Amino acid sequence: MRRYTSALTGHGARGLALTYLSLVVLIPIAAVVSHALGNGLGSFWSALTQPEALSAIRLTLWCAAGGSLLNMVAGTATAWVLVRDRFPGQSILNALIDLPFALPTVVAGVTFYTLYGPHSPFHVNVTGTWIGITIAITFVTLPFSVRAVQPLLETRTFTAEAAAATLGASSVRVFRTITLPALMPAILTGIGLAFARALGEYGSVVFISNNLPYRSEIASSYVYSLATSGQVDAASAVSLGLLVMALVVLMGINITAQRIGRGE
Amino acid sequence: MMHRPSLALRVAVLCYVGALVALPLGFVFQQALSHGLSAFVTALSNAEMDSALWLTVRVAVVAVPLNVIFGLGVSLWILRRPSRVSRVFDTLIDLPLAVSPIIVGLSLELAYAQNGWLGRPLAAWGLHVMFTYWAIVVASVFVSLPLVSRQVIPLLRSVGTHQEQTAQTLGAGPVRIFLTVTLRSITWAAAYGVTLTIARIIGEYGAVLIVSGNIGLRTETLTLNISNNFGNFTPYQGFVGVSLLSLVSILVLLVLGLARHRERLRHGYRP
Amino acid sequence: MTPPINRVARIATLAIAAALPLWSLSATSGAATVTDNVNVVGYSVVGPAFKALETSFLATPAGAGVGFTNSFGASDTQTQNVEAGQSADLVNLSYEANISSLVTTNKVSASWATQEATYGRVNTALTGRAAQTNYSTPGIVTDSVVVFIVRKGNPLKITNWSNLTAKGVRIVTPNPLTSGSARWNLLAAYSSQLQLGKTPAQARAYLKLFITHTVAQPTSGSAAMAAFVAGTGNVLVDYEDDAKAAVAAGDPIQIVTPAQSLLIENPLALTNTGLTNPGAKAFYRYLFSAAGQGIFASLGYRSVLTTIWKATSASFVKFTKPNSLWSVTNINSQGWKSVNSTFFWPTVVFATGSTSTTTRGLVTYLERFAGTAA
Repeated sequence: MRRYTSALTGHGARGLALTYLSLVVLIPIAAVVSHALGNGLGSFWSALTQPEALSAIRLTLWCAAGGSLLNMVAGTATAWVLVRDRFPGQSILNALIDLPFALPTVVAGVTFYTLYGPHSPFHVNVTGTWIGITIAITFVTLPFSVRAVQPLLETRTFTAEAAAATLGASSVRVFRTITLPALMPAILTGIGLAFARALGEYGSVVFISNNLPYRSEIASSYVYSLATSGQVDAASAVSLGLLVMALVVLMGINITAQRIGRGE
Repeated sequence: MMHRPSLALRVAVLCYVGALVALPLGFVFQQALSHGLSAFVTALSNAEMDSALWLTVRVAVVAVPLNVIFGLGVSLWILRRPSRVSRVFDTLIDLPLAVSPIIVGLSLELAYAQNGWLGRPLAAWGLHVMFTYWAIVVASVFVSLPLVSRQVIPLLRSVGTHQEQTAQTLGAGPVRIFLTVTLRSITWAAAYGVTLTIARIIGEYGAVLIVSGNIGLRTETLTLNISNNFGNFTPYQGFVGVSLLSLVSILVLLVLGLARHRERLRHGYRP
Repeated sequence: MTPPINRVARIATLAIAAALPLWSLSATSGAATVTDNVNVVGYSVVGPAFKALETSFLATPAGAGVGFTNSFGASDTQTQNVEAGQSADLVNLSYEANISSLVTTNKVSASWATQEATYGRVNTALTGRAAQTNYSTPGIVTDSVVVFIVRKGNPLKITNWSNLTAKGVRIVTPNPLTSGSARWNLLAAYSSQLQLGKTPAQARAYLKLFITHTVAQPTSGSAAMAAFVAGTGNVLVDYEDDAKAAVAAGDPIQIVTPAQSLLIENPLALTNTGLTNPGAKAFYRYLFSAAGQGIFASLGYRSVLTTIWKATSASFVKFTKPNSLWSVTNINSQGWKSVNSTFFWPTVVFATGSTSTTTRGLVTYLERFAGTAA
């Protein structure tokens, strides 16, 4: 076994992998951190707490939370129907769930703007509102919540639920007290991934939000205007803040999911 | 046995997914064909669109194999030769999932601009990365880095080394083991990862917006072409590009569905 | 049964083998031999004009063997990209401070404005006063003015700046952080009040109302036009030439030229690499020549060449009173150098001892308190 693995993962290959990772990811991210903190913590903090930055981050957090929570409910329900139900066209539904993964963000953005913007065929116009932004975020994060729960449901043998049913508990009660707690770690993981993705989403949201500072500007759009107008240090500072937020959320969800899983 | 989900729930889910996902997709094709089929075909042969299409293909042809080789190699390393370094690697390669495309673009610009850490030595050798084809390749590699290994690692872990050990005792060399045993056991998971990688690279927008310079007929990818068209009084041309990418996405969905189906079959036959 | 991986490998090899000849065919798709490539970097709105100009330049003898690589986008973003290393031989940006920024980063020489006399002058025999009367400000290749664009029929009856801050009016103007057009618009809004005789404090109050009524801030001038045509807002503030192009493209809009406006001057410069590129210099000359200026004029730009301006001025709105068309130097005699930091500095700096009189970053400051229009 050693001969096999060392042939494929010898020092040379490992060094190559490390160089590859550094050139593509590590050094660029280090450059962002360096520009963010290079002028001192005071300058970093002041860039992050600029009124426009705070407003953009606040809007993004609210919409990301809203979209993720909505998908927590809808995603679990969708996974439930996909696994437990049988109806014609079910495989199409299953395939459609992956569409937001497969579809380029700019395609989603442009389409939502045309559907729910000023020339909407339904005569709704939600450009520049948190509703429009949340719709886009909900679209983009749907697969995370469904695919996080679906595998668990597929491999689950519903013996505990069957036992509870024979003891007379209603379907809703069984779901609430038995299935849901068992699914909670997976649901949380799904929300975590969805939230982290939503924090940084750009292409699908930028068209339907109008990028008005203090009103409908999302965080990634703010970073973009900073980055493309020569203020790279401020852009790096806000980027670092967003990165830390995303990582904290992911780690927090991971720990909580593990704790709940262990408590089972 | 538990009851099936109620009809109400099924209808609710269908309406939700239909309104959120199917409706936009249908709308795209309706818009693209709204001027008739011949106008669609004419729009496809537009010079900027052709150049954007080929650029996107040329980027994928280089970036996808790079990430596949990296993803497979790293998966093997993390699972078959675990160490502290490999565990750190495991966490690090998931980093791109948490990074906004705009931050990706900013980070690459900072590193590869003429006065950047990497850009300066490269410029001394006459190599320019920013605002060229190579910037788009690096950005594409960044955003799709973990997609293959995330699919392959869980599967490799559950498959175990049993078959590979057997092959080795039978006298097969490392390369042969890899090609005929390891790869075989992860074919559909790898296919799933490769398909996601291709989809991600073709559809990247935010990062490419920053690092490409949007140079017409040179560094204008198909996603940039779409947004340029919407900004240049030619929304119909934009929708043609949108529908092209949507067609590719549907193809991707089919492959993903097939891969997931085949993978589940394999699992079903596992002891 | 062949193992799946072998089948996949076989198919992949066949596919690549089939694709390569197709790819090489497309790569050599009928381009004329190019011996001199000129990299053009411009602001967003001027893109279509350059397309026309390049086509007609290539038909002239001076254009033999020349090829163009174009990049157009929001002016400040383009400036920054050139500073970060994007190849550029010729830059046509929205406002003068963009070029000054390139001078500071050693991309353009400090004497860029004299390039016009060296490379652009139509009749090099002209000197002194005769030379000056042929062209407007040195280094400026096109003029324009700030106008309003409204839906066809002008349903809201918008005619002047005070109409823009009326109830129910939703303004579209680009993001001043990235777009030159946005800066021209905001300066025009501010100066319009001074032109009407108001005090600077009243002009600041008006500017705040203007910002309050803004409902979209796309990244560039052309993005703003696209958003407006797609239905956002009910009045767009933009370059006159962009407006004329949209009308010519058949969009259901009309132009309203206010009685007070600001003179837009777009600079053109050869970069340090462009100075060594004969094709770039030839194209620079073309842009200032009668032929090039004629094409600009036909596309709605106000020509800087006196002869062309005289021939085409009938199709442009005249500004009659002396204080009806200001330039940036009327707002501050130091011009863009001072105006850029007073209005558009990214962080707010107050006058010493004061908490409300901004000395830098006025627009940044006002945007904080703009809120949404009632």
